[in-house]
Amino acid sequence: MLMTCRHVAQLRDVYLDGELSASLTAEVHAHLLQCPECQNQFEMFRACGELIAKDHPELELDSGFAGRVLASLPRTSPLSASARLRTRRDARRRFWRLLISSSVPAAAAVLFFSVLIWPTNEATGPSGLVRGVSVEATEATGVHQVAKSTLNAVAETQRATRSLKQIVKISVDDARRDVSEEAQKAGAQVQPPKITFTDLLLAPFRDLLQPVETPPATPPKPQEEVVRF
Amino acid sequence: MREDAANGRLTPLRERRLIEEAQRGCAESAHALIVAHQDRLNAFIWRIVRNNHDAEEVCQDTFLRAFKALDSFDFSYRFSTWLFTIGYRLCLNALRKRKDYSGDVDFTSMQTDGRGEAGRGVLEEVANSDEAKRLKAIIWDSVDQLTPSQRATVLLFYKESLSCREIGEVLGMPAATVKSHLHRARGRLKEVLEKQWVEDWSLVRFAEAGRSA
Repeated sequence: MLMTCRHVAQLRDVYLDGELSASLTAEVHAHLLQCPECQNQFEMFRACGELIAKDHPELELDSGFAGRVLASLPRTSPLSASARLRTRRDARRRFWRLLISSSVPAAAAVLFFSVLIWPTNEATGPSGLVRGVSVEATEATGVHQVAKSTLNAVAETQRATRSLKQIVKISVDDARRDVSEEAQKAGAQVQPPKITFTDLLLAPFRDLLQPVETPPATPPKPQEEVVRF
Repeated sequence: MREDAANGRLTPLRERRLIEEAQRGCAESAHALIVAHQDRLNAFIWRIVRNNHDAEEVCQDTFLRAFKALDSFDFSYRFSTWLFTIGYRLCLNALRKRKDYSGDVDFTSMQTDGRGEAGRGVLEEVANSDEAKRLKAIIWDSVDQLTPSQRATVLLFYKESLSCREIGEVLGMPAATVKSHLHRARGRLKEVLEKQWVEDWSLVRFAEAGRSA
């Protein structure tokens, strides 16, 4: 004997909770095949469940949220000292990324414009002759001028690089001092790491150089599929 | 620190490692745990408190309290369930502080767009159709009109796929009470949605992660 609509309505919640027995579930399904009204009602609950599960109208938290949480930890928390070190290290990384990203194009621009705006030979006449010298000789002179200006620009860049190295050395010393102070404050037992110029240069690329973690050998256990309405 | 995750979620083994490292004072691991759980937790909290500022504050407090008590975390439970438990209690505190919080459901004040015979029609299958958007708004309004405990039950059941027993642990009530909340919530949804005169709900489909705001 087929179930009535009233009977199905009584079993609806237990069915939607996924706790109805297999035999009663089969009877409910048989009734739904025959009754468009009950079927439409169950589809309504299916749509609600789908929307609640899949729709995300809420605002997302910004990328700095996790950092703010860690920064709000009480000083007595063991995470607090580690979090402050992390914050200073992140700030240092951002500074060096900015410096490296801005200095390379700046140096290239200096070189490029110094070649362009270097004064050319003004003795060239409209006919291309200079005091009896041929056009080919003038052009050779021009190439020489370009080479000379390029060499001057390179020398300028070398001077700028030497100054940059001095700045870096000072910053490395500062960084070592900062880490030692923080470690002492935190009462850390571990020796602060030695920071070299190479460490600072490679700091922005550290993530790329990390070895990739291999996934576990055993496949994950398949989850039991539960249809929720 | 990289996280192994499907759909942005940590594997149980990875999560356990992060928790143990955070217990030993590793801020990187704590940071990774926050990032892995913040969006889901915020979504749940936001639906309960219905206020952006309060939601972020409650979310932050939840993590702070969790890290404060991290040493006592029981690995037989899921970390997310624990976060939801703390978050729900903080949500109730936030709601109690508000002057307009009554805890009652005012279902009769809901705006319903009942359609007569002339308005019946077949819905399009695409989730972003005007009709689907309208139904989305009505369904979410219905959920928002539930009591906090009914709303939390519905969200944890459908969004987080928790069992009634797990929901009971989060909300601090027996599984039977959770089922009662769930059934009552469905009854209220039915009352509102039946007035929408949708001819064929089987055509209504909502796509994954549609930002309706």
